[in-house]
Amino acid sequence: MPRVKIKLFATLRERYGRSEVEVECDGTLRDAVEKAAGLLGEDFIGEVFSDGKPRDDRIILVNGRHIQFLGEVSLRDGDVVAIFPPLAGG
Amino acid sequence: MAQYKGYVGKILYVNLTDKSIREEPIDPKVAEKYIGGKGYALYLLYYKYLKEYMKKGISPKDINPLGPENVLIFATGPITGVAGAPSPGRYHVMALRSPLTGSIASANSGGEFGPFLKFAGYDMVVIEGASEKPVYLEIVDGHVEIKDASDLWGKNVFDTTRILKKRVAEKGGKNISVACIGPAGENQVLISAIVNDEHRAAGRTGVGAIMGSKKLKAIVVSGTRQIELADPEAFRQLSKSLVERMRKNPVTGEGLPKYGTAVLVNIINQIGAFPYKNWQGAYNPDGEKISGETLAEKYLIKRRPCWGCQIGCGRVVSVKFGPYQILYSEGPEYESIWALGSDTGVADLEAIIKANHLCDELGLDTISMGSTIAAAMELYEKGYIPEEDLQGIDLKFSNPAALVEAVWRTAYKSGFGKMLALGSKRLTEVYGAPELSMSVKGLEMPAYDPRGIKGIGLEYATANRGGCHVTGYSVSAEVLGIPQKMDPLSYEGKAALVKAFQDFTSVVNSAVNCLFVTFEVNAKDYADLFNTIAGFNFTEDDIMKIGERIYNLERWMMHFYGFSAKDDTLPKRLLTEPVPEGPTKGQVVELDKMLPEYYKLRGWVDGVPTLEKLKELGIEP
Repeated sequence: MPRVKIKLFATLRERYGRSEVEVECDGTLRDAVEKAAGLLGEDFIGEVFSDGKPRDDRIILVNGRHIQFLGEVSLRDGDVVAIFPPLAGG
Repeated sequence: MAQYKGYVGKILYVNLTDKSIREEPIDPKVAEKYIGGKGYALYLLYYKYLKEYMKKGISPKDINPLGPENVLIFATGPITGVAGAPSPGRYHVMALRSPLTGSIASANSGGEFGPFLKFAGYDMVVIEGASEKPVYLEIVDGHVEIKDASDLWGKNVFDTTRILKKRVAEKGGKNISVACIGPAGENQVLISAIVNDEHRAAGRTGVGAIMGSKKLKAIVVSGTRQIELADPEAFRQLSKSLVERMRKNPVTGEGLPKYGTAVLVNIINQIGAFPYKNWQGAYNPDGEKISGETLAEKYLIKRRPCWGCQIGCGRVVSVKFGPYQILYSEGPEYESIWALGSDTGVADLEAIIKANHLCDELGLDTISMGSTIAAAMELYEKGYIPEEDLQGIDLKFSNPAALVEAVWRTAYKSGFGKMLALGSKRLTEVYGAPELSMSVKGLEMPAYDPRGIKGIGLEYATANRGGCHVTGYSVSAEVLGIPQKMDPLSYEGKAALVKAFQDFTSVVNSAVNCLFVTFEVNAKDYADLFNTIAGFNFTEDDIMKIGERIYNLERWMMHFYGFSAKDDTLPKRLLTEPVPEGPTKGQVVELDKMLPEYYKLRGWVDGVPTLEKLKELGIEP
């Protein structure tokens, strides 16, 4: 069972009170998020998923790559999932 | 000719050589094609000055950017200063030639100066010639005076601003704002900035040095002029709807207000596009320490919006203790944190805040300053700089004390500061390693590594003013997913994306309002804004065409200075050195996968608009 890190940024840190959690999962993003919800609260599932798919108004990276461009996500030991609310900059 | 509303309708011309002052009206025919701000200023620079110089037999390549022949324009547009318009508090600075790049000088700033210039009675101020002795310009309710600045010369930005504001307030002036140079601009430091409202900077391309070369210390504006609208009721409805949309947009309504631009540190670092130690890497292991989250948690006191802005991304910070104590400062922005922090390897956010504060106090462009220091650090670590040149400063990566020491020395050209004052391109040339300057056309690149975000690489290579991100902020799509998500590591579609952003942004810089509204406000909205405020009859297509026209006029002008496709490139490091570690390990930029398509879409040959393209856009060559 791979151990992965889920990192939270910006307003998500306030919302869930953590900047990082580590979970064991079955290699799917869904399972990793559900395991994390056990620590962060059930709301966390809806933070990442909507209608069974990852939300496209969240920036979700696996090892720095947007999940949109990764196809089927298969998480391995030591992988980092980073989640951002929509952001901006200059 | 009927005047459009929204504008004051007047351009002020000040000649500092013969001290003459005159005004001309805004020409509605020019406004229809170029709007205002950057576009209108470009029109003046080309037809009123550059072409006239050429007719007189002066070669554009002989124009000295620090000579009296350079022309400096402070420009607003019809949206500037209109309460209720999306973030209407910006102005644009243009000049015939940049002393840093040799191309056209261009910079943009917020605060209050833009709106207050209009309230003082002018849409634009054109500065010609040069004064023998230091002067400042005072514009109060349409009354203009060139005044002696000998008691201000040498003073920092804060002193200068406060003294002039007090002088005008004592005469009963309302809505007072000051745009000035600090010691850096006075000393014609090539990376010096014009700073308004103490902490807002028209920073890039050395515009501070141009102002210093004219011995113009400051412009103070004050006034109570009302701006007339073409259709106040329709504008009111439009404003309500746009402001509501911006409020609901998570970027303009939550991300930016809550964390400021610094919120980008963690995300750009997580995707492996956060340049580290003079772009030797693209991932910073200390990113968290200098992030927007850390800034908000430890140093943020409150937000400070620019005039009329509904977003309010400005930060007010305080460092209460320690060697980098500064009880009140503003910023630092994402770019400043990156340049003074990640690019130099400095992980001490307090030192970065202090260095950023000094840049405001002394009038320096934070991006070019940080990047030039980073280049010096790499030069030094690799043995190119003899120790005695540094006069005891251990200018190595990650040294926070050296960072702060380097900044103030640059402003005064003191010790090694006189070398840093040249900017990274000339600095690295002097020390024999020009490949270590991370610049394009002499302008240091900002905080996105194109090896991790390919489209921004095309943007850096083709931005008219040099290595610039805001000219065509493709990061919006490639990282943030606005207007739609594109793969940052793919080359596909990037040429069209960059062109579209560049054209649209040209209009934003001519409006003049804040680029950040465009995370929600689109080209159709701009057409509606111009139509209800000014009385134009624009469609969405007109907006994009005007933007394309402005972009091409600027590109056409540049070619007279010798700029062409050979200058549309990137530093060798980004083309040939793969990212050593992190999420983008192994990546380089293959510019030739984007550039040919870009030129085709642009209609340029050898990086220059063809005469057919100019004709198509209604530009008289």
